Amino acid sequence: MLRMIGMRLLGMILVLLAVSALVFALGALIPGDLTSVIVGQEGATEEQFAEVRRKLGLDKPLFLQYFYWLLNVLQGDFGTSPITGRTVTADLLQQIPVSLELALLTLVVSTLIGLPAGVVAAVHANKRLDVLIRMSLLFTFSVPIFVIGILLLLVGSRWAPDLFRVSYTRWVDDPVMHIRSMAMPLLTIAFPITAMTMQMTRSSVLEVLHNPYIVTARAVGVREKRIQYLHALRNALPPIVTFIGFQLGILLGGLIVIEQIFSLPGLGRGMLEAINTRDYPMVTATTLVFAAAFVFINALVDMLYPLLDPRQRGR
Amino acid sequence: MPDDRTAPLLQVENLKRQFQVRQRGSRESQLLRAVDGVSLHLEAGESLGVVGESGCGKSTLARLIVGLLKPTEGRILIDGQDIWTPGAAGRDRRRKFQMVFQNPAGSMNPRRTVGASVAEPLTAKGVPNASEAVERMLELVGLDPSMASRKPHQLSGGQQQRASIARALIADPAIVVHDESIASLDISLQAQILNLLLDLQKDLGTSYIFISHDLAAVQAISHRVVVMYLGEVVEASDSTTFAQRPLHPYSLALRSATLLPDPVHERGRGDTLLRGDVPSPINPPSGCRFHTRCPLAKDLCLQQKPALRDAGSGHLVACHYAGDTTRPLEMSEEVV
Amino acid sequence: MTDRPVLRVENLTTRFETDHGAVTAVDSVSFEVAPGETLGLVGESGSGKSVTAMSVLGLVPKPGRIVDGTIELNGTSLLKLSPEELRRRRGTECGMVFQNPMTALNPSFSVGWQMREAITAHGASGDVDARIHRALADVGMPDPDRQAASFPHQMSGGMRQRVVIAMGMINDPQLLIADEPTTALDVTIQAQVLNLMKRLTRDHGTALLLITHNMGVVANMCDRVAVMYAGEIVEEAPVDELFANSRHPYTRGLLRSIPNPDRPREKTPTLPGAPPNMAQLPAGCRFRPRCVFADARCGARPDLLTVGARHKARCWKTQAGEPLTETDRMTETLDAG
Repeated sequence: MLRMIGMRLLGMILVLLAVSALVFALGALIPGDLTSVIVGQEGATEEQFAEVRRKLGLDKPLFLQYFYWLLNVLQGDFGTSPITGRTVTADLLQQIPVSLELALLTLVVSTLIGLPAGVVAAVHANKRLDVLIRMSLLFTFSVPIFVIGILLLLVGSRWAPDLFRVSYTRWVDDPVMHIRSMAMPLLTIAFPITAMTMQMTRSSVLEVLHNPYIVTARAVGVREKRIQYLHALRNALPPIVTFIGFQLGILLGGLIVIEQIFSLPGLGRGMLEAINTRDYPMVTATTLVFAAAFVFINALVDMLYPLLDPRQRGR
Repeated sequence: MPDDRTAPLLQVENLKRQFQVRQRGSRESQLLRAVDGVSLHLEAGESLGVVGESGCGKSTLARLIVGLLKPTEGRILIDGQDIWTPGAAGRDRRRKFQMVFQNPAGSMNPRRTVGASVAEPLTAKGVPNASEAVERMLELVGLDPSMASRKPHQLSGGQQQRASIARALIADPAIVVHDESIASLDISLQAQILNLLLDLQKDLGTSYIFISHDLAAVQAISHRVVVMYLGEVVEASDSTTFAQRPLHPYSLALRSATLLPDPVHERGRGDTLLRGDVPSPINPPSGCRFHTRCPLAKDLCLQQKPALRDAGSGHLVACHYAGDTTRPLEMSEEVV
Repeated sequence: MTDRPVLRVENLTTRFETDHGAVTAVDSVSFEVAPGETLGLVGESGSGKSVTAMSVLGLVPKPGRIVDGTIELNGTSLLKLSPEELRRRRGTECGMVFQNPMTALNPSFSVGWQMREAITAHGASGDVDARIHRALADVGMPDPDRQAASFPHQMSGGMRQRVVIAMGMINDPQLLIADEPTTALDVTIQAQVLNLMKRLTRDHGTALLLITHNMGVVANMCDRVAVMYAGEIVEEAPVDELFANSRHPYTRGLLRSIPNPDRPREKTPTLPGAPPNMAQLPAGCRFRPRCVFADARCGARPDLLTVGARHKARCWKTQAGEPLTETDRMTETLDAG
């Protein structure tokens, strides 16, 4: 078990190294570089350019640039943004908690609702309740996140303006305002994710319910609810957990859109702004954080597997 | 050119097949000796029965013989010629084998008609129009030729198995290997298929290798019986002798464990049972592999592996004590 | 008290509504199981024997439904009970053992946990761990505490079936239903498991309803036998009587079609044909198309009537007192598709 975790960690590090190299290379390959941003597009002399380049280390070979960059990154230093003048790390520390909170809340809410709803749908498979649940599902599936978001924003601000006319407030500043500022983004993004979790739970539980050991449990007199939510759901979990991990990846992409619509100062919004302003250090940093999150989630799911399925644990 | 006259139709020499297996959650792989030094032979027009519990390697043996698996060691000779000779020669020899599986539905393509499935071995050979042969074959196995146009799921289990027998026989193979081919059928259908196989053998002269866990079924069809335990042959004999006087304690145990449709006999049954399960073929017991379950095991059996020896007129047995008249091989009550 | 059967099934009819029409898998089946008795319910696949067993426990899989009849367990009519009342009787008054030990246990939970479920479902009383220990020891598991902590995949098929039996018996029910308990096991393991079941039911005075297609198992285990064919019981008799003097052509054919291990390479007499499609049953006697004795009477459906001491058969010929004499035609091998 420990050995497996070790192997996983090593794999994660290798993947992240590869991602960092790729991100760095992309930044370097895009026409125009930091110099032009700093010096300005026009009116600068060749000497000025060369001077700035030397200062930034851009005159050195690419792999050396990467090496120095990586060395700094490992020490938590992503450089300084030429646009804002702040250190990238400071910005990240502001943005990550916002996105992380939204992601975790979405995960918790969608799982808390999606799992039981999925079991109910499976137990009532093809009856009215199940059909109703699945119809609403189909609806949320077919509407993109940003449409739901904008709809909620338009309709909601009319009916419950208090809930919407809030700008992002930190929990430490005002907990009530914080909750109000997070409610709508959460609702928007949790909708489709919950629907997907439920759909996955439904099909997985439905399959498990056909197993002979479910009949065994009934035959010894175990209560039906306990069979559904414990005996069956437990066996249905491995594919569901894999799927939730997979969803989190989609969620990360969704954050960029949501944070934009609801003006949340999170990582996604930060990334988008950085791209718009050609803030290269910020772009590479946010990309790397997203990639790290993705790799981490995948590794976590993989490591959960033996916990969920005793057969994976060996004798 | 080997001398065809003296070579038996099928000769299997010291056949071995090993698998690397890795237990879940473990990185080390271990060696599973599924078939571990099996030799046997089969004459034209005869049937050889292979019997043993699950995990004794009989299904691997079946796949090795028909050429679905390549042996790790040893040779399979048909008419004295190796079936794994490189190139077309080997391939042509492997085509002389056909196989009938346990699950007839699973071995036929559900989207194709029964006729197309039955014709497969002929089309593989490049025979253009097989429909006449298919009809003839279906009739031979007791199916209405009109069944050719049906899909496998429209046939009953017994009919499906008849169709797979037709498929096995259509290209005129020298040997048909049956791997538990009647195990999934109802009793009344099992007897029908056994009789059909006997009739077909008489008419076509095909040789069978009949692999089963069911001793009665094996004896019903075989001229010669081979008993396997943990990848090895522990006894081989012609079936009449074997029915009258099995020698190996394992064969005796198998026979005594077979329940008979006779309440009086069953009531008189002592607890002549075998203890425990078949040990893992990954780390088989030392010496005689049967010693962990054998009621007769002595120190010698733990240390020394018994050779397969002739106990008289071709009756082979791998046991230090079998045939020892001073120690009759009747298993007593104390066994359990 | 002693003469009241543990299980009384009367006119049980269980139907499956499928897309291809209704299939009556169990058709007016009646039988009784006395306390401590072992009744064999014998038949080929599709004969309705498993559906009968599942009907008793109220576990008929969808789209099946009990449409008629009475099931009395210890004098209580089960079909009138609420689902909760029925649940409380499952496991406590009637245990069950299933065919395939490889799939009958939940792979995600330890064996001990699953046995605990079987106990606590009916309100835990006393030392549950000790009961689990005893139950596992009782089915011959070496080192019961270690086995309780292990998962099903860590056990052999024979061991798993012992666990399933221990679970079925753990609340000491008066009736145990075993559906093909040894079909998936090797012969040597089969003998062990049957002996175990015999010992347990004898020691606990448990009645056993044993569902099987294997006549050897029947001969070994049963006191009485009911033979099912195409959803009906066609013959019912004490075990010796049935094997020595079967009074239904189907039973007789079935018994003859078992190969004799002492006579190698001899043809076995067979029943011609195959069991009927349950969606298109023949009119009259359902065995008629395969019956060598069939005559004009068989166009009408026979009832299950007494033909001898404790012996019933569903056959016009034997009910009329005529013997099932084997003609030359029958001793030949009948071998139609």
